[in-house]
Amino acid sequence: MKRIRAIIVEDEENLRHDLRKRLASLWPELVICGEAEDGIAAVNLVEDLAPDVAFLDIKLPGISGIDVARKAAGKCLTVFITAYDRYAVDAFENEAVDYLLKPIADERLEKMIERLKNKLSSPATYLAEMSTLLERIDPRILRQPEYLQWIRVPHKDGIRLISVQEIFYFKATDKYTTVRTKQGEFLIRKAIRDLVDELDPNRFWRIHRATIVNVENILIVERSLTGNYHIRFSDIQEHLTVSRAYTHLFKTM
Amino acid sequence: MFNANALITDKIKRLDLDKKRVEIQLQILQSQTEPHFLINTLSNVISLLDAEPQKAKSMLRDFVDFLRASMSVRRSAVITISQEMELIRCYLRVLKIRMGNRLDYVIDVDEAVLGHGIPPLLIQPIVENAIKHGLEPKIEGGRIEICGCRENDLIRLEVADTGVGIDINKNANGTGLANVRERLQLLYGDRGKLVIRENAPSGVSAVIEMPYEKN
Repeated sequence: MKRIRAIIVEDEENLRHDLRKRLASLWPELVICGEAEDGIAAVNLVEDLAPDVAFLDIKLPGISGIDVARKAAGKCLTVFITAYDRYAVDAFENEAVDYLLKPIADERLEKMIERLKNKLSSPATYLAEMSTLLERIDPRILRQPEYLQWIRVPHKDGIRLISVQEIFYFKATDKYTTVRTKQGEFLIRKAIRDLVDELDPNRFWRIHRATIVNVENILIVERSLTGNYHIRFSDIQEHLTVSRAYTHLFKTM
Repeated sequence: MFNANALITDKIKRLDLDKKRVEIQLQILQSQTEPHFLINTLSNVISLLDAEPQKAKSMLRDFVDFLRASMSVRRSAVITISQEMELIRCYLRVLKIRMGNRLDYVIDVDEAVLGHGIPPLLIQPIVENAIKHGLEPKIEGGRIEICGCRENDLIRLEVADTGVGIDINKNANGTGLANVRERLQLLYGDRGKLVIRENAPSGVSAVIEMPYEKN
């Protein structure tokens, strides 16, 4: 009878050895044909060794265990190993896909082995379930819309990283853009029109052809007698005027 | 002349500041040691118990030292830089057992500033960030250097790592660092600064500046 082959992917050596030992004692027919410490090595192992089962830690250097599972989908059964990660655990509970919580309790490991043995006799349905699950986790955990969270600013003392949370506004200045934070003004090359595309539109509003404001840092919006809207901030003196083209954004306030 | 706008703006600013102060105090009181750190450390200890009991004991001792140091700094509104460094040392000692040669670290703080007062948990969260977002995701791991010195009337504390660096499209490290910056500003106004830079060849450098007060 063909022997079942498995790989273990876990970046902490102690945990890897421990799992290997315990599997050897609880499931002696299982052959551990490979071990990996990071996501990229894991994907290669699956390709090269074609194991029947992969034990995958979720948090791995390189790419995550979930990404490894996506790439391995259809090639082998996967069992996730996770520390207390409420979100992932819930997802697994609902889908009854296999997971092991660190530290791995003996009874839990034994149950897992039983489940695996059953599934190995009819892998087709399980693999289908896995693909659906991985697709459902993916958008929620991994495919969040990616907006700019940090601005790289060349500076005399190196390249500074400014969190967008600190920024009051961006203003076009000649060929550059000025970034205003409490610490002062910084110049970057990115144009306003590119920033508009890359910044979270819920937090950053264009108020003028040449200006984008971080609405979360606005202190107060005032309407002058002439009908113009002026934006004031805490901690800095500057105020901005909203151009006619964009006053509609503030009218409902 | 009576300026209603100025009064309102002023009031909003003051309420905002009060709200921030309360929020931050609450955060410190409620903050717990990162659960992943606790669980991963104890899991490691369990896995070592049979095969390498001495190593397991050693890890538990280091872990208890860390918990003790952690409790002691959380209790006070002001601690010394030396106490914060001791907490960080305990933290990194535990992590070193887990990460092996994926973690290299050095703590180098001038005598002159060791006794200076700082609020608790200003630097340790930055080190946690450096491990979690910098070194852990990096396949070969890396190095963390923590140093502190006095520059005229300022104290300069730096945490530099050679990890994967900041992904500009993700806010992974953002909240922890924003919290540190806010606290620095509340306590020291314009003289409290946090500057984040790219480290060479990779990774992040976080520099805290605060006024040096003779005491």
